[in-house]
Amino acid sequence: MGSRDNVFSDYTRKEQLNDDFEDMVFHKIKRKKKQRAVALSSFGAFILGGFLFISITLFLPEKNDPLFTKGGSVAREEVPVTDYVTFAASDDSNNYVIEQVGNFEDTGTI
Amino acid sequence: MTELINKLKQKDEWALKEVMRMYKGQIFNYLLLMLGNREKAEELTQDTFVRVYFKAGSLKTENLKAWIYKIATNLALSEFRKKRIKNLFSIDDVSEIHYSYEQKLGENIIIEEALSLLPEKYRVPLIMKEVDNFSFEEMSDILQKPVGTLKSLVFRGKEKMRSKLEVQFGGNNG
Repeated sequence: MGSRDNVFSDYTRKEQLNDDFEDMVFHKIKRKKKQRAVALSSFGAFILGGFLFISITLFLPEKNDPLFTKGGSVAREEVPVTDYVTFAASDDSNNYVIEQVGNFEDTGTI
Repeated sequence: MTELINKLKQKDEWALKEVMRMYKGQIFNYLLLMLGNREKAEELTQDTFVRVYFKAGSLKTENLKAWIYKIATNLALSEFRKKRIKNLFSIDDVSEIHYSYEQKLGENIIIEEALSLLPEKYRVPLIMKEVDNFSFEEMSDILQKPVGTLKSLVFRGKEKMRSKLEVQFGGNNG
Protein backbone atom coordinates (compact mmCIF):
# COMPACT_ATOMS: atom_id res chain seq x y z
CA MET A 1 0.00 0.00 0.00
CA GLY A 2 1.18 3.52 -0.71
CA SER A 3 1.88 6.50 1.46
CA ARG A 4 -0.02 6.94 4.66
CA ASP A 5 -0.79 10.50 3.57
CA ASN A 6 -3.02 9.24 0.84
CA VAL A 7 -4.83 6.09 1.77
CA PHE A 8 -6.44 5.92 -1.66
CA SER A 9 -3.25 6.11 -3.71
CA ASP A 10 -3.36 2.39 -4.49
CA TYR A 11 -7.06 2.18 -5.02
CA THR A 12 -7.55 0.97 -8.60
CA ARG A 13 -10.87 -0.79 -8.74
CA LYS A 14 -13.03 -0.28 -11.85
CA GLU A 15 -16.02 -2.56 -12.06
CA GLN A 16 -18.01 -3.01 -15.27
CA LEU A 17 -21.77 -2.83 -15.59
CA ASN A 18 -23.80 -5.62 -17.17
CA ASP A 19 -24.27 -5.45 -20.94
CA ASP A 20 -28.02 -4.89 -20.69
CA PHE A 21 -27.60 -1.82 -18.50
CA GLU A 22 -28.86 0.70 -21.09
CA ASP A 23 -31.80 -1.52 -22.04
CA MET A 24 -32.77 -1.68 -18.38
CA VAL A 25 -32.64 2.12 -18.11
CA PHE A 26 -34.88 2.58 -21.15
CA HIS A 27 -37.22 -0.12 -19.87
CA LYS A 28 -37.54 1.77 -16.56
CA ILE A 29 -38.12 5.04 -18.42
CA LYS A 30 -40.90 3.45 -20.49
CA ARG A 31 -42.51 1.99 -17.36
CA LYS A 32 -42.32 5.30 -15.57
CA LYS A 33 -43.92 7.10 -18.53
CA LYS A 34 -46.82 4.63 -18.38
CA GLN A 35 -47.18 5.10 -14.63
CA ARG A 36 -47.23 8.85 -15.10
CA ALA A 37 -49.92 8.60 -17.79
CA VAL A 38 -52.07 6.41 -15.53
CA ALA A 39 -51.52 8.73 -12.58
CA LEU A 40 -52.42 11.75 -14.72
CA SER A 41 -55.61 10.06 -15.99
CA SER A 42 -56.61 9.08 -12.46
CA PHE A 43 -55.96 12.58 -11.23
CA GLY A 44 -58.04 14.03 -14.10
CA ALA A 45 -60.89 11.62 -13.36
CA PHE A 46 -60.71 12.50 -9.66
CA ILE A 47 -60.84 16.24 -10.41
CA LEU A 48 -63.75 15.76 -12.84
CA GLY A 49 -65.62 13.60 -10.32
CA GLY A 50 -65.05 16.16 -7.59
CA PHE A 51 -66.25 18.95 -9.84
CA LEU A 52 -69.42 17.03 -10.72
CA PHE A 53 -70.10 16.19 -7.09
CA ILE A 54 -69.70 19.82 -6.03
CA SER A 55 -71.90 20.98 -8.92
CA ILE A 56 -74.65 18.52 -7.99
CA THR A 57 -74.41 19.42 -4.31
CA LEU A 58 -74.61 23.13 -4.97
CA PHE A 59 -77.12 23.34 -7.78
CA LEU A 60 -79.57 20.45 -7.36
CA PRO A 61 -82.84 21.68 -5.73
CA GLU A 62 -83.51 20.47 -2.22
CA LYS A 63 -86.49 18.26 -1.46
CA ASN A 64 -88.53 21.04 0.13
CA ASP A 65 -87.78 23.40 -2.72
CA PRO A 66 -91.16 24.38 -4.43
CA LEU A 67 -89.62 23.75 -7.83
CA PHE A 68 -88.82 20.24 -6.77
CA THR A 69 -92.15 19.41 -5.17
CA LYS A 70 -94.08 20.52 -8.24
CA GLY A 71 -92.53 17.72 -10.25
CA GLY A 72 -95.09 15.25 -8.94
CA SER A 73 -92.64 12.53 -8.08
CA VAL A 74 -92.33 13.70 -4.52
CA ALA A 75 -95.10 13.41 -1.93
CA ARG A 76 -97.17 16.60 -1.96
CA GLU A 77 -98.83 18.28 0.91
CA GLU A 78 -102.58 17.88 0.70
CA VAL A 79 -104.44 21.12 1.01
CA PRO A 80 -108.12 21.02 2.14
CA VAL A 81 -110.31 22.38 -0.66
CA THR A 82 -112.22 24.58 1.72
CA ASP A 83 -109.13 26.56 2.49
CA TYR A 84 -108.56 29.71 0.59
CA VAL A 85 -105.35 28.97 -1.27
CA THR A 86 -103.43 31.55 -3.25
CA PHE A 87 -100.11 31.26 -4.87
CA ALA A 88 -98.51 34.38 -6.27
CA ALA A 89 -95.22 35.11 -7.88
CA SER A 90 -93.81 37.82 -10.07
CA ASP A 91 -90.84 38.75 -12.15
CA ASP A 92 -89.91 42.18 -13.46
CA SER A 93 -92.81 42.46 -15.90
CA ASN A 94 -95.48 39.92 -14.96
CA ASN A 95 -97.47 38.84 -11.95
CA TYR A 96 -98.69 35.25 -11.66
CA VAL A 97 -101.52 34.35 -9.37
CA ILE A 98 -103.26 31.03 -8.81
CA GLU A 99 -106.57 31.30 -7.09
CA GLN A 100 -109.05 28.68 -6.04
CA VAL A 101 -112.06 28.77 -8.32
CA GLY A 102 -114.43 26.07 -7.06
CA ASN A 103 -115.61 23.95 -4.18
CA PHE A 104 -116.37 26.95 -2.07
CA GLU A 105 -118.62 26.38 0.85
CA ASP A 106 -119.77 29.73 1.86
CA THR A 107 -119.62 29.72 5.59
CA GLY A 108 -119.22 33.43 5.87
CA THR A 109 -115.66 33.06 6.94
CA ILE A 110 -112.48 32.54 5.08
CA MET B 1 -21.47 19.77 -24.11
CA THR B 2 -24.06 22.55 -24.38
CA GLU B 3 -25.63 20.85 -27.39
CA LEU B 4 -25.73 17.55 -25.53
CA ILE B 5 -27.42 19.21 -22.54
CA ASN B 6 -29.95 20.91 -24.80
CA LYS B 7 -30.79 17.62 -26.47
CA LEU B 8 -31.05 15.96 -23.09
CA LYS B 9 -33.50 18.66 -22.01
CA GLN B 10 -35.60 17.78 -25.04
CA LYS B 11 -35.66 14.15 -23.84
CA ASP B 12 -33.57 12.99 -26.76
CA GLU B 13 -32.75 9.30 -26.32
CA TRP B 14 -29.50 9.59 -28.26
CA ALA B 15 -28.38 12.27 -25.80
CA LEU B 16 -29.20 10.02 -22.86
CA LYS B 17 -27.22 7.17 -24.43
CA GLU B 18 -24.27 9.50 -24.90
CA VAL B 19 -24.47 10.68 -21.29
CA MET B 20 -24.67 7.09 -20.09
CA ARG B 21 -21.64 6.18 -22.19
CA MET B 22 -19.71 9.03 -20.58
CA TYR B 23 -20.70 8.60 -16.95
CA LYS B 24 -22.28 5.21 -16.24
CA GLY B 25 -18.99 3.57 -15.25
CA GLN B 26 -17.97 6.38 -12.91
CA ILE B 27 -21.38 6.56 -11.28
CA PHE B 28 -21.57 2.80 -10.87
CA ASN B 29 -18.15 2.60 -9.21
CA TYR B 30 -18.97 5.59 -7.03
CA LEU B 31 -22.20 3.98 -5.82
CA LEU B 32 -20.53 0.61 -5.47
CA LEU B 33 -17.92 2.09 -3.19
CA MET B 34 -20.56 3.92 -1.17
CA LEU B 35 -22.98 1.03 -0.84
CA GLY B 36 -20.72 -1.98 -1.10
CA ASN B 37 -23.36 -3.98 -2.87
CA ARG B 38 -23.13 -4.63 -6.60
CA GLU B 39 -26.83 -5.26 -7.25
CA LYS B 40 -27.92 -2.21 -5.30
CA ALA B 41 -25.25 -0.06 -6.94
CA GLU B 42 -26.38 -1.16 -10.42
CA GLU B 43 -30.03 -0.55 -9.55
CA LEU B 44 -29.27 2.95 -8.26
CA THR B 45 -27.10 3.68 -11.31
CA GLN B 46 -30.09 2.82 -13.49
CA ASP B 47 -32.33 5.00 -11.34
CA THR B 48 -29.82 7.83 -11.60
CA PHE B 49 -30.08 7.89 -15.40
CA VAL B 50 -33.85 7.51 -15.30
CA ARG B 51 -33.90 10.66 -13.15
CA VAL B 52 -31.43 12.35 -15.49
CA TYR B 53 -33.89 11.72 -18.33
CA PHE B 54 -36.95 13.03 -16.49
CA LYS B 55 -35.29 15.92 -14.66
CA ALA B 56 -33.06 17.21 -17.46
CA GLY B 57 -35.60 19.96 -18.13
CA SER B 58 -34.78 21.55 -14.78
CA LEU B 59 -31.00 21.38 -15.31
CA LYS B 60 -29.58 24.87 -14.80
CA THR B 61 -25.86 24.19 -14.65
CA GLU B 62 -23.31 23.42 -17.35
CA ASN B 63 -21.57 21.01 -15.01
CA LEU B 64 -23.39 17.90 -16.11
CA LYS B 65 -21.05 15.55 -14.25
CA ALA B 66 -21.62 17.29 -10.90
CA TRP B 67 -25.38 17.31 -11.51
CA ILE B 68 -25.44 13.56 -12.22
CA TYR B 69 -23.31 12.88 -9.15
CA LYS B 70 -25.75 14.96 -7.12
CA ILE B 71 -28.62 12.74 -8.25
CA ALA B 72 -26.61 9.59 -7.53
CA THR B 73 -25.56 10.90 -4.11
CA ASN B 74 -29.13 11.75 -3.17
CA LEU B 75 -30.28 8.28 -4.18
CA ALA B 76 -27.50 6.69 -2.13
CA LEU B 77 -28.26 8.85 0.91
CA SER B 78 -31.95 8.02 0.73
CA GLU B 79 -30.96 4.36 0.50
CA PHE B 80 -28.93 4.78 3.68
CA ARG B 81 -31.90 6.40 5.38
CA LYS B 82 -34.34 3.82 4.07
CA LYS B 83 -32.30 0.88 5.23
CA ARG B 84 -31.13 2.61 8.38
CA ILE B 85 -27.91 0.72 7.91
CA LYS B 86 -24.68 2.59 8.12
CA ASN B 87 -22.57 -0.23 6.80
CA LEU B 88 -24.13 -1.94 3.83
CA PHE B 89 -20.90 -3.76 3.14
CA SER B 90 -20.37 -7.32 4.07
CA ILE B 91 -17.18 -9.27 3.72
CA ASP B 92 -18.95 -11.59 1.24
CA ASP B 93 -19.94 -8.65 -0.99
CA VAL B 94 -16.44 -7.29 -1.07
CA SER B 95 -14.90 -10.70 -1.75
CA GLU B 96 -17.37 -11.37 -4.56
CA ILE B 97 -16.67 -8.07 -6.26
CA HIS B 98 -12.95 -8.64 -6.39
CA TYR B 99 -12.78 -12.32 -7.03
CA SER B 100 -11.23 -11.93 -10.46
CA TYR B 101 -8.50 -9.45 -9.54
CA GLU B 102 -5.02 -10.75 -9.07
CA GLN B 103 -3.04 -7.57 -8.66
CA LYS B 104 -4.00 -4.92 -6.14
CA LEU B 105 -6.65 -7.27 -4.79
CA GLY B 106 -5.50 -7.05 -1.20
CA GLU B 107 -5.18 -3.28 -1.15
CA ASN B 108 -8.60 -2.64 -2.69
CA ILE B 109 -10.37 -4.92 -0.25
CA ILE B 110 -8.52 -3.43 2.70
CA ILE B 111 -9.43 0.12 1.64
CA GLU B 112 -13.07 -0.80 0.99
CA GLU B 113 -13.43 -2.57 4.29
CA ALA B 114 -11.91 0.35 6.17
CA LEU B 115 -14.17 2.71 4.23
CA SER B 116 -17.20 0.61 5.07
CA LEU B 117 -16.50 1.13 8.75
CA LEU B 118 -16.71 4.91 8.39
CA PRO B 119 -20.00 6.70 9.08
CA GLU B 120 -21.61 7.93 5.86
CA LYS B 121 -21.03 11.59 6.77
CA TYR B 122 -17.29 10.96 6.28
CA ARG B 123 -17.56 8.27 3.65
CA VAL B 124 -19.46 10.26 1.04
CA PRO B 125 -17.17 13.34 0.89
CA LEU B 126 -14.08 11.17 1.20
CA ILE B 127 -15.02 9.06 -1.82
CA MET B 128 -15.95 12.15 -3.84
CA LYS B 129 -12.67 13.86 -3.05
CA GLU B 130 -10.19 11.00 -3.06
CA VAL B 131 -11.64 8.59 -5.62
CA ASP B 132 -13.69 10.78 -7.96
CA ASN B 133 -11.38 13.81 -7.66
CA PHE B 134 -14.04 16.48 -7.21
CA SER B 135 -13.00 19.94 -6.09
CA PHE B 136 -14.36 21.14 -2.74
CA GLU B 137 -16.42 23.75 -4.60
CA GLU B 138 -18.09 21.07 -6.73
CA MET B 139 -18.65 18.93 -3.64
CA SER B 140 -20.20 21.90 -1.90
CA ASP B 141 -22.66 22.25 -4.76
CA ILE B 142 -23.45 18.54 -4.84
CA LEU B 143 -23.70 17.90 -1.10
CA GLN B 144 -25.11 21.31 -0.17
CA LYS B 145 -22.52 21.82 2.55
CA PRO B 146 -20.00 24.64 3.05
CA VAL B 147 -16.49 24.11 1.70
CA GLY B 148 -14.99 24.44 5.19
CA THR B 149 -17.24 21.72 6.56
CA LEU B 150 -16.33 19.41 3.70
CA LYS B 151 -12.61 20.03 4.14
CA SER B 152 -12.98 19.14 7.79
CA LEU B 153 -15.04 16.01 7.01
CA VAL B 154 -12.50 14.81 4.45
CA PHE B 155 -9.58 15.46 6.80
CA ARG B 156 -11.26 13.72 9.72
CA GLY B 157 -12.45 10.92 7.45
CA LYS B 158 -8.89 10.28 6.33
CA GLU B 159 -7.68 10.26 9.91
CA LYS B 160 -10.38 7.78 10.89
CA MET B 161 -9.56 5.61 7.88
CA ARG B 162 -5.89 5.55 8.82
CA SER B 163 -6.60 4.61 12.40
CA LYS B 164 -9.06 1.91 11.30
CA LEU B 165 -6.52 0.52 8.85
CA GLU B 166 -3.93 0.37 11.58
CA VAL B 167 -6.31 -1.22 14.10
CA GLN B 168 -7.99 -3.63 11.69
CA PHE B 169 -5.09 -4.66 9.55
CA GLY B 170 -2.13 -4.16 11.81
CA GLY B 171 0.13 -1.99 9.72
CA ASN B 172 -0.56 -3.55 6.31
CA ASN B 173 -1.30 -0.09 5.07
CA GLY B 174 2.11 1.44 5.49
